[in-house]
Amino acid sequence: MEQTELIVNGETYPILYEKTWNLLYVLRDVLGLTGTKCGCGTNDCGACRVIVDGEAKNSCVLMVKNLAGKRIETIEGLSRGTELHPIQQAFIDAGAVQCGFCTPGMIMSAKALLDANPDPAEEEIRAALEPNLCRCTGYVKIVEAVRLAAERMGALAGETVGQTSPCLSSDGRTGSFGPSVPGVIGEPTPVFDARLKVSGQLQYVDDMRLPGMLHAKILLSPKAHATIISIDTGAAEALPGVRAVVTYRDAPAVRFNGNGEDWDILESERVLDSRVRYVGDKVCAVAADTEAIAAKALKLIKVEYEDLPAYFDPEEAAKPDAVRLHDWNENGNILWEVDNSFGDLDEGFSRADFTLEKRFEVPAIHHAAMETHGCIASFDADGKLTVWSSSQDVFGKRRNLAKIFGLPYAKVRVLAPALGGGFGGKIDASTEPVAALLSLKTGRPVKCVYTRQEDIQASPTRHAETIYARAGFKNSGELTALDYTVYINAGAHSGGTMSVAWAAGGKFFKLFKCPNMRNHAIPVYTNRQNAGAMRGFGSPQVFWVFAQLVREAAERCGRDATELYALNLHDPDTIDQRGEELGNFRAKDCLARAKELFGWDEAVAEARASRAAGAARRIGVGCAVAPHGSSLYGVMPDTCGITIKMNLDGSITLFSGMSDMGNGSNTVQRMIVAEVLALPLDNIALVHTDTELTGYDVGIFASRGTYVGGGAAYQCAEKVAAEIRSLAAGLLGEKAGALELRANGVGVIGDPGRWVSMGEVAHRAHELERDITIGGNFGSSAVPASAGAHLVKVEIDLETGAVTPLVYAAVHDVGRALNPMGLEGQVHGGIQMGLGYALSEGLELKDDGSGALKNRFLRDCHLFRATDMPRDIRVEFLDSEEHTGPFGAKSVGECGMVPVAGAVSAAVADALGCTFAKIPITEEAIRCAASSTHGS
Amino acid sequence: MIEVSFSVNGAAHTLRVGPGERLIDVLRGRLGLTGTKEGCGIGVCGACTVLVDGRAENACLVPAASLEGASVVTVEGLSTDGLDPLQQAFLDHHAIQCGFCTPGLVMSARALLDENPEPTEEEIRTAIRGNLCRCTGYEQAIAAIASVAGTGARALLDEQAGLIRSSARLEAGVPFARTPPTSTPAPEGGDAR
Repeated sequence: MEQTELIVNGETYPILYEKTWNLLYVLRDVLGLTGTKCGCGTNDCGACRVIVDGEAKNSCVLMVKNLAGKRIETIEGLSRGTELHPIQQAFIDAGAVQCGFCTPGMIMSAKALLDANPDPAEEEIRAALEPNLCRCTGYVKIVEAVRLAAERMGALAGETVGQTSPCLSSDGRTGSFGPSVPGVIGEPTPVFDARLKVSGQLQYVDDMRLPGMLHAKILLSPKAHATIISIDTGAAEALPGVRAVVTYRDAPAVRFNGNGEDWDILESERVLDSRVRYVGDKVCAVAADTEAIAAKALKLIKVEYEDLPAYFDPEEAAKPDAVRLHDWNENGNILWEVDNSFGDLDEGFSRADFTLEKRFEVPAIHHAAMETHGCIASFDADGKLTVWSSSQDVFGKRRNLAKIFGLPYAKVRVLAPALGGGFGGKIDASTEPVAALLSLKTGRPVKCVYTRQEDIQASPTRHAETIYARAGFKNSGELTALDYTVYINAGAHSGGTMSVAWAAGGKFFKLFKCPNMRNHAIPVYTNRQNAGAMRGFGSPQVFWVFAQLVREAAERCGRDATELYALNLHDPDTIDQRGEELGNFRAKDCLARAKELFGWDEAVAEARASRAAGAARRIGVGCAVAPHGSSLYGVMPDTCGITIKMNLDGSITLFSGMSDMGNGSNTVQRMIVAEVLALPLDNIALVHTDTELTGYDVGIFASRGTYVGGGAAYQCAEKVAAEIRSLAAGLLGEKAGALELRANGVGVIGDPGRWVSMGEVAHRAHELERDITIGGNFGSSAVPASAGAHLVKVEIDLETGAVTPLVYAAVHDVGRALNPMGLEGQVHGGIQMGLGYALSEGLELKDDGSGALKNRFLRDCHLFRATDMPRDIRVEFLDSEEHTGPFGAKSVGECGMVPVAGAVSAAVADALGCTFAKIPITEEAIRCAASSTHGS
Repeated sequence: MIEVSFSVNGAAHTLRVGPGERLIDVLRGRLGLTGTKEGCGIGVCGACTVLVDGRAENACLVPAASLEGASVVTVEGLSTDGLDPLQQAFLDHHAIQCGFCTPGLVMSARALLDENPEPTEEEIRTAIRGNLCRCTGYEQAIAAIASVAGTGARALLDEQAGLIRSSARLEAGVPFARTPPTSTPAPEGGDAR
């Protein structure tokens, strides 16, 4: 080992290091400064950015040996206690923080910029943030935050800004009280843990260390489909520091569905199996004293495989003579077909003036949450398994782990301390079963966190699909029939595929009132990595196809695509073709408002002129409208449990089973409780996502955070309010019905002078030997559809094929907007994700038939960066009301993403006058289309 | 700083250690083995007892620099393959209350039994003389140790068995017991005497 001294945040540290160590490792693992995050380790994402001698750099590629005497600044150096740096405060105030995993790196980039250039222009800010990837925010509010920080730092010239709001004193009497309740509903509210996120203090799973903890690495299959003939682990086991090696011989024989849903369907997975079914499948695993030793041990394991035929295309795999991936499956490689139809297709097509018939292809996508999948699993001396997991579904994971290891649920505890993004990818079991198996074998806690390269090939994706669509239109643009057959590429295991097929098959009917429609889904196992839930849950594919059909039909009719949409959209309060109530579904109003907000007619004229002039830099405009349900109602029981406990000073603790992946679900729950109980947010502590402490929750997906999670918070808070009024009635000598909750207390309606504080109410309960601890639960009984209308203008360089999105407008109907800042952030992030889906992302297999991905590194996933985003993004929410939702709200999480790719692809198609059958629309595809339709 | 090589629970470690660094600092701070507790730091309470080359030692009194070539076993090393019989005996005899002295007590007992598999009661008491316990009064701990030892301290066990029987009786009669006592109800109309 070598010795050096590092200067970190002004302090000097003597460091013993190996020559191969980078700064990120030393910061996190030697100095314990875990505020700096690892998102890739390959210089692609900027999550590990620190400042070295005034310059922002990725610490994953800085070698320690070169850093002696240099001044290193990390996120921990920016704040002290509750005193935040102005940039940190600006990130909170601007709503620039969602999951928080990219935040420290973003802030360090911003600080280096502002230190050198106190008054940067927008383009300078974007350029400075270019190395930093964010998957949540679409960068909009991050850029705003840096601008805000620059203004404040200019104005304050170095003063510290930011205060926590005052809390109650112990007698509960402090704070204003009166008729004017400072409501939080409708107010822009940062995520509840924003201060911990901007200061780098929030502990994600990889930031945790337990006594005696081992580190695991999983050997991932290089084969697409093979039987394991032999595994020789002897050399690995003999390596000093290796504590256990597990193979399928150690794994329980139990099969499970990694999705962990309510019922047992298509249980195809095993912790480790004697057969591998995709490149990236788990072969065996090692637990060792360090990650480096475990990685070294993997290289010593010799595996002999016998190849089996591999299928990557669902249509190939679905053929009757294909070798089955799962021997038990009586349907060959098909999971279960789903066939929903309504009306009479033949009649519909016979009524059509013209029919469009197309084959479309959409790719698998890496979710690219900035935090990779990972967990710590610990079997203790009680035989109890505790798992800390970056998980969207702790109760589902508990279910699967209990099943695998034959334990009662009381012996399995799953917690999600924090989530660095999820987007659907962190629902299914990932590293948890393997880490638990290693912990069982060693009796020690085992951490297993995927590197980015492992995450790309071994974690679930969005479903790749091949779609055969046929649509009949009248010349007016009226849709008379729509026939849709989709081959869904499930990958090697079942996971959430059936749920996606069912859900997308339902959502198919929620947009157009067309009387003759069929959705026929054929989900097929293939030798690709598992596909599963991803934001939109099958919808982005459906509504991408719809947008392309509508655009082409509009061109055929000589009408505008928005007119075709308006003509065919469902009205509010209708019942769709499958008999589902849509609720106050305001798609038409969204579209009308979006056209105004965007300046659609002018943009269309500009695009027409550009096409007519045969300009080399062509303007295109596109439009898409999409629905999305709120909650799982109709697919499975959808409940969220909440407990509220009042402390003796009148402040409360809120226990919520729901995770928050940065989307703001817990934030909204806290806001709703604050509103109902008239308490300041700071008087509400939150305990979340712990199968042992909190009520059951289905998981954070299906756009159920606000609608179901919020609904549960509302119902529970109402019960607490009733208890508070009843206790206060005794104190005030009034009937409970004559009382109202006001800021920090309860008073007599119409008599401002007569009131008691929350603290006095809590004391009253104590005197009566009672406790204000109340549980509540919300089960949804409807699945109201929210709607989004998205319009986009792009510029295309016909020579290079480069697409520049210029202006983007999105108008959504979310019922009442409870937290406008959070809602905007969701839509901005959806736009970022959808732009990539349309233009640059997509996992592709190598051409050699091996089944390995071309996309090895994060840089190969081509996520949109701050410099790639449209500079002009306009987001609005309709003023509407969903009577079944808390305070009239429904959810938006997925809907913000669903129409994006459809609109963007339609815009590119509009510029070139041709429909693209495949996304991503690459520069090459555009050059090709441009040369064949030149001048048209 | 000097470099020392030694093993902990069978795993080899080479560390550079400072002059004031103690074995307990290495175990808890550097190796993350927090099963060994620090109760006093001056060799009085025995909570940090570990085995060094088979002998029970207070880890707070062992300089880390003296460990070259040593073999250290901590409480974590006892339960690599299920619980050690001593640990199970501590559970079975209710020798654990708060649990803070337990790892040290178990290690002292382990050292004793490794050297003397059939200790007398007095030998057990002597072996755990350096381990302070504020909860149990030592009786159940001594019984636990005796139960895995040979025959030397059987008398103690019999006594302990008596205690367990009496507590079982107590359980049957507690006010919150689910099943009511099955004794014949008192005759109606007053004084049973």
